[in-house]
Amino acid sequence: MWRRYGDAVYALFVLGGFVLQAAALALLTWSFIPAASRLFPSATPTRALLGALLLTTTALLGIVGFILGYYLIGARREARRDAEVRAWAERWTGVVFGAEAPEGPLPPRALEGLLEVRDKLRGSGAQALGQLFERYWSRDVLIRPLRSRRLVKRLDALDRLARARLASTFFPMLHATEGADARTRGMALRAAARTLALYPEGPATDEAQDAFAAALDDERISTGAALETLMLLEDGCSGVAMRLFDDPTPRWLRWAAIEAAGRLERVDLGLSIAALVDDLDPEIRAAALRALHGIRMIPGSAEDRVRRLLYDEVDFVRVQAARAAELLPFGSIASRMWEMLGDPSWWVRRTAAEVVGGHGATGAAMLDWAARTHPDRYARHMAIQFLFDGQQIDLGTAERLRSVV
Amino acid sequence: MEWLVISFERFILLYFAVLALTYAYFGYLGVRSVIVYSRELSPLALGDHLSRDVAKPVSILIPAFNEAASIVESVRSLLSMHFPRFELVVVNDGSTDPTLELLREHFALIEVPLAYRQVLPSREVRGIYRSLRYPNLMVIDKENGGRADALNAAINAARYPLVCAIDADTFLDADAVLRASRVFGEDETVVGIGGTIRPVNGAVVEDGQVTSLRVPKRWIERFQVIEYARAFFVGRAAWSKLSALMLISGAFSIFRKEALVAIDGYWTETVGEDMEVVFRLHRHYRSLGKPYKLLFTPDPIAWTEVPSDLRSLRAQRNRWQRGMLETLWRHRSMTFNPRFGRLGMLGVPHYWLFEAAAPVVEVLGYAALIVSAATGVLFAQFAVMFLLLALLYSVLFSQFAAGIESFLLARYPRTRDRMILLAASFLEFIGYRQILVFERFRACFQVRRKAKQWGARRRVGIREPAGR
Repeated sequence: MWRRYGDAVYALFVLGGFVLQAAALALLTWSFIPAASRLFPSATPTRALLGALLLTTTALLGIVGFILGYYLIGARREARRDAEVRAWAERWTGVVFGAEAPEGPLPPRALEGLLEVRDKLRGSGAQALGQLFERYWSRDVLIRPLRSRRLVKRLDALDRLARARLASTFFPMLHATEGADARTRGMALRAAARTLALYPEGPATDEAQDAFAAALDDERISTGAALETLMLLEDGCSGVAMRLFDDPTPRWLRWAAIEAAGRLERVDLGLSIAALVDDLDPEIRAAALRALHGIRMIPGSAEDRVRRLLYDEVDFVRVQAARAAELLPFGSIASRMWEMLGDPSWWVRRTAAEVVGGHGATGAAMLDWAARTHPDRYARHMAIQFLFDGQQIDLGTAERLRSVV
Repeated sequence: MEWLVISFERFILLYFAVLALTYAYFGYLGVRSVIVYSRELSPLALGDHLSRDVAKPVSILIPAFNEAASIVESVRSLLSMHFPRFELVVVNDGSTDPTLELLREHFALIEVPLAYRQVLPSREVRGIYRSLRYPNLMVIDKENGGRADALNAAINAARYPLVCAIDADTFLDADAVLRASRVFGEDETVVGIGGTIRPVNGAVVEDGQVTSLRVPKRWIERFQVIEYARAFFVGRAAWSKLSALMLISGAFSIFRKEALVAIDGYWTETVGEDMEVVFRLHRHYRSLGKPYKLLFTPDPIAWTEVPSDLRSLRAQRNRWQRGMLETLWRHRSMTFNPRFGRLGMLGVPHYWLFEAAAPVVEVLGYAALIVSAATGVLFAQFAVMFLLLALLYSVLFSQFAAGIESFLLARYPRTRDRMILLAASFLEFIGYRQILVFERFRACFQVRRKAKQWGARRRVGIREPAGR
């Protein structure tokens, strides 16, 4: 982690040091060129060297002075700033819970304190803080730096906006996602997602979700970044994810939306996700199955389809189907799980063993039976390994069974 | 004779001028990249990333050869990392000290007959162990084959898509892997990332985490604090910004496993496998015409125990110099090769001229000083002033880096430490620098004779707080 003050000034000092060095070295090199020394007879190498020494000493003194000053003043300033922000955060918390609101205008630390609390509260508390912000400041305080030509200012502004999570700043943030700089784009998307997560309910939400889904559909965004952004939407994920499940959405984004819905356990999307298990793309089928497993629910209408996918031609789909099938009655999948213990893919065999092993005493008995009698050698091996890993058999028993296998 | 000395002096001047300006520019690039990086990955962004559990899982590979002094603490440190899904693969590379026994004892290891797919060639694996206490800890015991060979064996056993190679005496900041892995998720063209390495000597380590920083007691260690800051905050940061990073330190590097497998893993015939693997990754992706990135990020931070005695330090620098020469020679076709862009036209020539040849030029400079003094052509006043200028430049670069370090939350906290480091950046020029330059000069002529030799290293181990 880094201190985020004084660094721009330091960059100027270093740039100054660079310029002074360039001047010093140019002077020195010049003095060695015979023609040049004829032009300026006073610029002898010794004098040039003396000049270079003076310039370098100046640069060094500047840098050392900055560093020591940063140490001595910075530490004190940091402590004072932290104490002030903490005090304001406590004061705002008090205001949310009924204490008297302060008289304006307020110092900048008050805004920092408010942002600290705003990020931690949810529900009515967060709303109250949003209203307090509107009362004392204009949204322009947060948005104006977004228009700065300096990248660092834009990134700082987005960090504050991400903490503020104010609906009124949502669209300017989304606008920032159209820029050319990848860092600004990524941060703007995340800040917008955090804001959309706390968006007040109403018709404006639909418009915001539409706009957000459209902003995500940008090939410059990586799948990982899209997934993280969608997960930042929290409860607001469902509305956006639904918009991305449809066919015109690029495959990578659909995958991210399904994955996010599963990880956020969006039960309300169960039916929509279940509809995707028949997709032509195996990656989408696998993601949909994984999501169903994530939300711990397979709609009745999809049960047969999940069972059918246990026979899918693609091994990673079979893996995910086996995981999802864990949610179905064991009796309806037991015989297929027995077969899958001998699947050509190690991953499918392992998953089948995990699913069977997850069914308590019945599963353990089935694995024990498989370890001794399964017609497939690899199935027997997997059953032994799984029982050993789960410490259900000791090393000696495992070795003995293996020698029989 | 006089003509020769003057010509050489002019060459030295030009060499010095280009080098000084390059490093000053690098200093500026380093500061710029830290400024942007500190905003890009704010505490808020990192917290979101961790809580959303979107990080790609990582296999951490730890080759260990005679690491009894620090292996237990290192593994403990890594097990306490903030990261949702990771495994540790420790490779006991035929140690002759009790490395394996210590691991067995402290982590309750049992031998398991695990399936082992040998995708990359490595020396024979004698056994695989798993911990009864930590399901994500695996230890491979194999015949000695060197660091690269041990890493290849570890890659074979690794389960996850990202592999993080670290030294056995390296401690990682709790969220170091999280920070690095995030970049892989954000940008699918990233194939490798290196973080900053800082000396752990003098620091207090509790439960595998650096809790308090103090400047080390010995000057030899203090000089290395300055050197590491210069190398990482200035050098690596700048090359990364120029898309021409040529070295990702073996003490802490993360790669996509598929990328390492595609280039047949680490090359076992060199002592500079960390640099060589980066060169080969560049070649591989350039030849495929696929977009790729090899990056340095200033924070994640890894802590490593640096040599505290001159003999170990000389052996280390000798090895680094040989490793660099082996790599540069193996990939000499990249030099001034426009197919490799900035890397071929700028990076590799820079390494030849200002890294590989630097000790030769410097030793010749000292020799010229002596010869010109002996033959009476030395202009003493000028020579002294020039040496003073070189000293000031060197201190200035060190302070550029020290300045960047002071923006870290985990910086040396006391002003006294800062003064010591300032003094160290002056004093390193007197004796310390010359000893290492001569060692690197010697290494230039030992590349063949000492092939694959690592040299002796004495480890002291890290400092625990009093009363523990």
